[in-house]
Amino acid sequence: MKTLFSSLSIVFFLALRNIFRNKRRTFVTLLSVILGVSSTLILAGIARGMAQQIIDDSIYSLVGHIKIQHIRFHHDPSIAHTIYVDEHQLSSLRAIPEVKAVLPRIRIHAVLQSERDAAPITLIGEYPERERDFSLGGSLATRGNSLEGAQDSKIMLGESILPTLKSEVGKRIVILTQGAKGDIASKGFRITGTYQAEVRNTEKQFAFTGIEPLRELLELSQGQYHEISIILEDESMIEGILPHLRQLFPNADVRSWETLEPLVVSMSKLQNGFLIIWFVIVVITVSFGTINALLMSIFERVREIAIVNALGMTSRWIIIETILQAFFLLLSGGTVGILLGITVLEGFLSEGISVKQFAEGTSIVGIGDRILPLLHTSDALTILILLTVIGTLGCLYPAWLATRIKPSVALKKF
Amino acid sequence: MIMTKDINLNSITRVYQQGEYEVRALSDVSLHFASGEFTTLYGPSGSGKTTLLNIIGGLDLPTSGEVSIGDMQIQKLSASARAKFRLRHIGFIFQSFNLIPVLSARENVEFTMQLQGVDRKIRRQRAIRILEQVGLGQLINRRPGEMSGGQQQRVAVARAIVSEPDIILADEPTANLDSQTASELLSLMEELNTTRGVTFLFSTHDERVMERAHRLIRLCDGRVENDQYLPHH
Repeated sequence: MKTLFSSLSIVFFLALRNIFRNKRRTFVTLLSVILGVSSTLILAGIARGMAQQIIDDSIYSLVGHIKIQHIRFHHDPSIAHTIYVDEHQLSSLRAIPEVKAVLPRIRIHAVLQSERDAAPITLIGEYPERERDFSLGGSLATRGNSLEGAQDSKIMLGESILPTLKSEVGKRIVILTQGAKGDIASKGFRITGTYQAEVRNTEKQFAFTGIEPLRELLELSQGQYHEISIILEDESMIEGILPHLRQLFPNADVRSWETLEPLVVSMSKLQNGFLIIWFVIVVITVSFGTINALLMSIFERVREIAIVNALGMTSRWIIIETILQAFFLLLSGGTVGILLGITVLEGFLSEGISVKQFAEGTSIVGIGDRILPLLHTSDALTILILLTVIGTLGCLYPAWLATRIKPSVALKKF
Repeated sequence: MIMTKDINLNSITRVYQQGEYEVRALSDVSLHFASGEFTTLYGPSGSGKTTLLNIIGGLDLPTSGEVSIGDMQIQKLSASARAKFRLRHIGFIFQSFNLIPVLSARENVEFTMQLQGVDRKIRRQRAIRILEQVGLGQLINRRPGEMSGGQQQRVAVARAIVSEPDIILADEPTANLDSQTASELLSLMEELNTTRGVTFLFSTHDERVMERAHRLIRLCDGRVENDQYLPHH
């Protein structure tokens, strides 16, 4: 054991000293590792940020973390598919510690008819004060006034739909829809204000009004809703709370946002897969630089390696010494690269990256005009571990080459 | 230490392939070296001196024949086993010093002891004592690049002897040294031979070394041409 420890310490020592033998080469190698790792982490942060924005936009627009609906509503969003939830049940929901907000809504498909044009819309009847800070429905008006309460019979439209309707704040529009009994229901609403969404298309899809005027229009009774959207304290609580909610509402469909927005989930999973592939590609590329540096080092040290072998250092220790050089280079370069990546993400890019010039395109995929990078600790650790393991394993080749040096030949030739 | 330290070479032949040609570096060489001998191998360049030393030291394997040190058959050992054997029993002094450039003089001398697992404090004390013995007490922290050729060779000698091997193989140890340095080192090696019974095998053209040898073996074209013990020894 003593011999093992002693040999390990000399090999450790030699590896460190040999790294700094050719400072220029070591610097270039380290720089390639640092730049490769930091750029990968930054790109990952930007990609994660984009993905999270898509998810957040989905959750905090109108989906919520969990939604309670009629069991057939998801497949057939008919006006008839409502659930009955009394105030006591709503209070019970609000009393659950993990629940941050309970947002009951009436939701119908309708046609918006202005003086000059018409457009299809989903009209949401809501409690505006409950929706504030939790969903799109609670957005403060960018022009005009926000909805004042559940009794407010005015309508709030998305900024982008006004040009389509050729209308303006303060003017009247007519809502045409189907009532609960199947007949046509219509009502005039004054446009109280406009809202803006992260994704422009959303503004053309949804309009908001007080829940009671819409209930009256559709002839729905008190306690009758199309959906209850639940906002939790944290996304990670979803799996824990779902069974409890399903027990509270055994006759309703209780779903998480992931089943309501499968496309968003698929995009997120696809992105995770691409990120891992990207990490591996960068790690392999960076490792080649290190392997090359080590190969050059070995070719320069042929005689010296022969000497240490002649003095009694076995092949095993020669391999370990070479591998240790790779390990130190990759670990130190990787760590500095991680720190640089974190500094850029948390420092320079903490305010986000403006993509206003691409707003049209980014809005299609659910991203606003600013990307906020998101740093995952797991990404930093994954890159560092992959780099150190793959890179060090790759350096087994130069290490093996070192052991092929025949002392008798090397001492004569070099 | 191995039980006996005699070196036996039995019909050693070494053939190298150089392209389409075969080079016979050694042809049917049989020699016996008793423990404690102070022997010089001499002869023209290409006579096989270095090859013979390499085979004795396990750095090379014979094409045929047997080489044993004590009861250990060197040619039957694996490369790792030969390295371990060298670590424990054989010291090397090379013509071109061959110090490890990233280690200081003291660290170079400690190197083999560290591989042997010698206690840190003991190996440091031994290394410093040996370096003082070879006149380098003031340069223990210098790296090879900061020393003259003579100083480097002293460090190489110190490294070879510090772990108290049974055998020291020295290939042209005085080739790059001035007379005084060469003389001092030879005296040190003689003292080791006399006081500790370390076997010395030199390969040399240097008459200063040959003068001090107990036994002279002349090699020519891979064969032993002459083998004589000098009478004053």
